[in-house]
Amino acid sequence: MSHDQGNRSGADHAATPEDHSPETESSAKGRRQFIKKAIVTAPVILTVASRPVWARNCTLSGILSGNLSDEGPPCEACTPGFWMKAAWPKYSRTEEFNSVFGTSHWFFTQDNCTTLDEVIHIHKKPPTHDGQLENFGFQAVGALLNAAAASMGMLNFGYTEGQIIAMVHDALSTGNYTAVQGDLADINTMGHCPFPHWVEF
Amino acid sequence: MFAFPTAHSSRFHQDSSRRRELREGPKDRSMTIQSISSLSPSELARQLRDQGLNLGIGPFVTRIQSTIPSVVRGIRLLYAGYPIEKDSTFADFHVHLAPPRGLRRWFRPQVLFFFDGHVPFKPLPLAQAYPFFEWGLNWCVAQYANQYLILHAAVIEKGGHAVIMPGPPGSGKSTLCAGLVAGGWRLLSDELALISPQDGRLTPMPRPVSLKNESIDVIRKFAPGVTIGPESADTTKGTVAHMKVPDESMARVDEHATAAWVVYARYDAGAPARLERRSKAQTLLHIVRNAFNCSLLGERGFQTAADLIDTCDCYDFTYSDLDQAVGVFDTLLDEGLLPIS
Amino acid sequence: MLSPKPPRWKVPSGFSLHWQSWDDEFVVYNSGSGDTHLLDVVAAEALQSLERESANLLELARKVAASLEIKLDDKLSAYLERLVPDFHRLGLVERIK
Repeated sequence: MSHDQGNRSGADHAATPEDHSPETESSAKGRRQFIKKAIVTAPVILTVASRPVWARNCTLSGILSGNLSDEGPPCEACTPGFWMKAAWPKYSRTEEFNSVFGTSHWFFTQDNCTTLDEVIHIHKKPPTHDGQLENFGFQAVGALLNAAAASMGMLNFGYTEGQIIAMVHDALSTGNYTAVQGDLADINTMGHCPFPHWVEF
Repeated sequence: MFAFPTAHSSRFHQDSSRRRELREGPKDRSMTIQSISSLSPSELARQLRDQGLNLGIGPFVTRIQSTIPSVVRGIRLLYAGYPIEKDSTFADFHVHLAPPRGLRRWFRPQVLFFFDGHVPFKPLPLAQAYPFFEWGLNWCVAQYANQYLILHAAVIEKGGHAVIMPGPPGSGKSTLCAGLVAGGWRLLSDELALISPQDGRLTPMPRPVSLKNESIDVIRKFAPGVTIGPESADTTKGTVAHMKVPDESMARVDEHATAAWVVYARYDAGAPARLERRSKAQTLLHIVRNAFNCSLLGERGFQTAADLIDTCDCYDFTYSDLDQAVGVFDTLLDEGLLPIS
Repeated sequence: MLSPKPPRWKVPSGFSLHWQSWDDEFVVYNSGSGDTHLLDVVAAEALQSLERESANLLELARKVAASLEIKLDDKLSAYLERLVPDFHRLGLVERIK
């Protein structure tokens, strides 16, 4: 069995490099040679960084999609709350929700929730019914802006604008928006937001 | 470091623990167990269509609902011996496979996978509904069973010694796993190793073994007696089919196992079977990197992985001939090549 | 005129390092960062020394050489001169006043 049985947490119990089992003269010499070899080149430290569970390719389904050995940089995403205040990549605040997402949902033609800016500020007014469409719209605009920032190479976000638009479109046409809203919320919190609030795109 | 995990996983983790408390301990299998095979085909289809069916799969109860014929047929064939959990109020996972509403219900029909009411994935073509069910269920367990350290690995056992075979899809581990299981090894899982942090033991969760492309014929030839489900043409991965879990493995589903070997298997056409020791430290690093939730479990995850590698012998294994490969594994067992580091 | 004192390094006291080793390969989990590292025998000895007490590079070289029964020479010094800033960058050690 491994001679490191006592090797548990804490420095006190750690097997130290010098307390391996007694050796013969020649194996001790061999060991010194081995150690000397280690310092001939620059130190190499292999690191597995702590990552969010999803980080492999920054998507909800990334986990079982194949290449497990690809770690990549940490995932990044900004919340809709951030996007309410920050400058926007690619999209103008006055663009219409239904036009951008290719939908014709009646809710997004109402007063004060037609444009992207109105939808992302939608919580400023009381919900008109179950609040789910409001939440959905809020997350959808946030996700779109994350994808737009990613397309400019500024955010390691796992979805393209096309994918977000398709998700939103499908959700509204199947009526599944409550479920998809939860997914969008997860996607929008899938990582650290690297921008200061005064970022320019 | 920002606060993580996602809202989903922390919610579910709490729910899952509470539900287990309500479950009053381990399932008592001495009571009359009704299995899938005891239902008539029409009764099975009806239950799957209406309230759903609570299927006991290893330590989990999965409520499955579907009207899709290939899913119903697949469950009838490949889950024949699985127990139906009568308690209809309790399930670890709620899984529902259904066509989307609207155009894609009829035109180039698709299937959606619903998990606890959410849609985690984009739809797939309807022809892939059964593999979608299997793959989606793997995903459910991999995301939410955080009471275990979960590795992406096959797990088999014989003579009291379990072998963990890590590897991504396409490496050859699934074919080898299927061959070994057909050759008398007990199947604990073909995709997900569930390791208890408390005692380092492996919890079985045997499910149909997924086979792709040439592997399907290889296994048919190697073990003509095994049941293999219908093939689904999958445009990204090729053709997929599933091998039914042998009755012997099902009978021992509640029997936990202790890992003795970690073997990285790789198919290499024409190569003779070759087993080589590999560095334990490198293996530990690989396990930490590729476990689904080592990071999530923090210190405990690391220690569980470290203890596992400490007690196991670690190998790289290359093979091309399945007979030869199974022979090597049986020799490993007979000659008791246990760790002597 | 006094020359500035060389920097002293130490593993932060709030962190706990969890070690696992086989032969001459060492794996260490840093509960402070959640990161896992693979170290060779010299790097492991250096880090364990800085876990026990602070040291500047010269002191560290002396301790490591003594523990591993090797010569304190330019190669060892050069190695540690690269290693300790790597530890710092990885969040394993901090400079102390």
